[in-house]
This record gives sequence, C-alpha cells and structure tokens, in this order.
Amino acid sequence: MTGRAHQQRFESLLHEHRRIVFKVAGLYSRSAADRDDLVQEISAQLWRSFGGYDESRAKFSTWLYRIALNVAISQARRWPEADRFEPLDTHHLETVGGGEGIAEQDERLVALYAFIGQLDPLNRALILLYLEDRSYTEMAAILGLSETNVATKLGRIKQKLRGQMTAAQATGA
Amino acid sequence: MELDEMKQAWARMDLRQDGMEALLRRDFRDRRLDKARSTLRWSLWGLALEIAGWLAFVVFVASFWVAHRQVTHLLVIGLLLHAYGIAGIWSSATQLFLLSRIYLFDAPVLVLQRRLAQLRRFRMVSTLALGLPWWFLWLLLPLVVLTWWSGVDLFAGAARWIWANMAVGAVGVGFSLWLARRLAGRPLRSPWLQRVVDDMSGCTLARVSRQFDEIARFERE
Repeated sequence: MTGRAHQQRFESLLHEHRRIVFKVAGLYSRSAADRDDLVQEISAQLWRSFGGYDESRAKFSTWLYRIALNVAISQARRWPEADRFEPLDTHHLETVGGGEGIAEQDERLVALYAFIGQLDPLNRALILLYLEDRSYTEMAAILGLSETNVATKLGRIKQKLRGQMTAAQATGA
Repeated sequence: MELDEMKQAWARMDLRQDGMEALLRRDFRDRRLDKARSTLRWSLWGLALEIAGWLAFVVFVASFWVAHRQVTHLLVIGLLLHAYGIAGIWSSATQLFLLSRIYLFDAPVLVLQRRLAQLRRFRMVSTLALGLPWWFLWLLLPLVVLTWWSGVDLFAGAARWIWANMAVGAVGVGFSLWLARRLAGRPLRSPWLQRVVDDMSGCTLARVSRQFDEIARFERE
C-alpha cells in the first residue's frame, strides 16, 4: 500500500470511529481546552501506531479504544492528583446536545457525570465501555482483564451507584 | 436510578463534535501527525545513539585502565569509570527495550499502564544513579583524559586537592538530596528541573508506587 493510500485508509477508519475518540477525550479532560489537546494527542498516537495495526488480531474499534484510553489515562496521570477528579459536567455538557439542551434537562446524565467524576482513571474506562454497550469479551480485550472479572467489577460499580443514589434520595427527602 | 437507565440516557446523547472534527482535519492538513511520528522515531534513534556513545566511552576507559594497570589509583579510577559506563549502557539499553514495548500504545490498558509505570520508575532510578556521580566525575573524567592525552598524572601531583574535592563531592550529593526534598512540592519554572527535583526527592517514586497500587487494586477488586 502506498503512503497516500495508507493515510486515506487511516483517515477513513478514523472518521468512521471518531465518536470513540471524542467520548474518551470528553471523559478524561478537565476543560474544553484539555479535551481538544487530548483529541489531538490521541489522533497523533493512532497515526503513529497505525502501521502496526493488524485487523486479523483485533477489530479496529478494539484497537482504537486501547490506544485512546491508554493515551487519556497516561495524560490524566500527569495532572496534580487534586485536579484528577474534577466534576465533568461543566465542560462535558458543553459538547452535548444539538441545541435541544438534552443534557441540561436530563438529570440522569448529570447524575452520571457526577458519578463518573469520582472514579479513578481505570474504573472510568470500564464505565465508558459499559455505556458504549461493548460486549464483555471486547471490554476484557481492551482492558486486559478476564470476562468474569469485568462482570464482577461492573456488578460492584452498579451496587456502588445504587448505594449513592439511595443516599442522595434520602438526603433530598 | 440504575446504571442501565443512565446507559439509555448516554445512548441518546448527541455529541456536538464540529470543533473536534475540525481539529482532526487540521492535524492532517498541517502534517502535524507526520511530525509526531518522526519525533518518536528520533527518540528511539536517540537512545540507540546513546548506547553507541556509552560503548565508545567504555572502550576508551578500558584501554586507559589496561594501559595504567601498574598505577593503583589510575587503575581504580579507570575501573570506576568503566563501571559507570556499563551502568550507562544498561540504562540506555533498558530504556530502549521498555520504550519499544510501549511505543505503539496498543497493548491492553492494564498491561500498558503497568509498562509505563515500569519505564517511569526505571528512568527515575537511572537519573539518580547516573546523575549524582557527576559530583565526582567532573574531576575524575578530565583527570583520565589529561593523563591519556599528555601522560601527566594529576592525581600523583595533587592528591590532597583531589581528595578534598572528592569530600566536597560527597557533601554535594547529600546537599543535592536535601535541596530536592526542600523544593519538593513547589512548582518550578523549568519542566526539566521539576523532573529532576521530583526524582531526587522521592515524589516520582511515590507517584509510581501509587500507580502500581491502583492497577493492582483494579485487578484485585
């Protein structure tokens, strides 16, 4: 494959899966500027690694998730620890909705951001894959865990969330 | 509210992505991605060149102490520099190996994050192991070069002065570590200086240890 054809194939695959990059960048950034930097970092790393991508070994989406999450988590680790768990809602909600203000009206999304904001980078990756409706097999391949472990961890996260919601409702009442 | 309900809300969410799409297009238009690719290639080449430099250093130092093996102090200095050179080769070769395992960034998240932490810890240890001896090497290295080049044995003529400087070097090592601890936690202007201070004060090690703990906890829980 010529250099130009190689780049065109990459651009086309990236365009097809661009939402993955945007969602990962959105979940691992502290501000809109951070998010834009992260989109660029991820796309640069994807291009660097594309020569080594083997479609017989992994689906493009699996490969892309691995790289995007690895870049995002590594970047998040460079932040001062006090900044790591900032609320996501402020800047993330700016990127959501097509002018209809879905997010502002949907308390579930606000609650979800508040919950994700408390998670460490690895659990944040797990919840993102769950929300994106990835299979347990793909989640396990992306994260490097067994499928059983993925199921157990998701069960725990759900339990934790349920506990928090109950506590919040009790406080509200 | 259940996580499944949140999942439905997430699925309905429509990302406003025009700005981010423009970023992706601009990266290709400005050839920024090609630059990113070549930067990484250069860092791998840089390490390979470092290894070549260290090998040349070891060969030079070995020829020096073999030629002066009858003179005890020159033999000892030569052997110390030889050990330093081998440590340099080991450091660069190990970093090259660790970097080659991560540079594609496409390993599963836990595997790659652990490898990154290993690289970070190794870099910290090698910065200390190769940096602090310069409190002594600034004198020993010119001494060896001078002896090799002119045949003048500076040590024989000014042994007390050299020992005094070695003592200053020992104090300097202690002072460097003390200063790094004092500066730890303060934001510094130079990112390079910040990294050195973090490495010497133990901040980097503490951060990497927490990273390992976090990965282990995630696997275990």
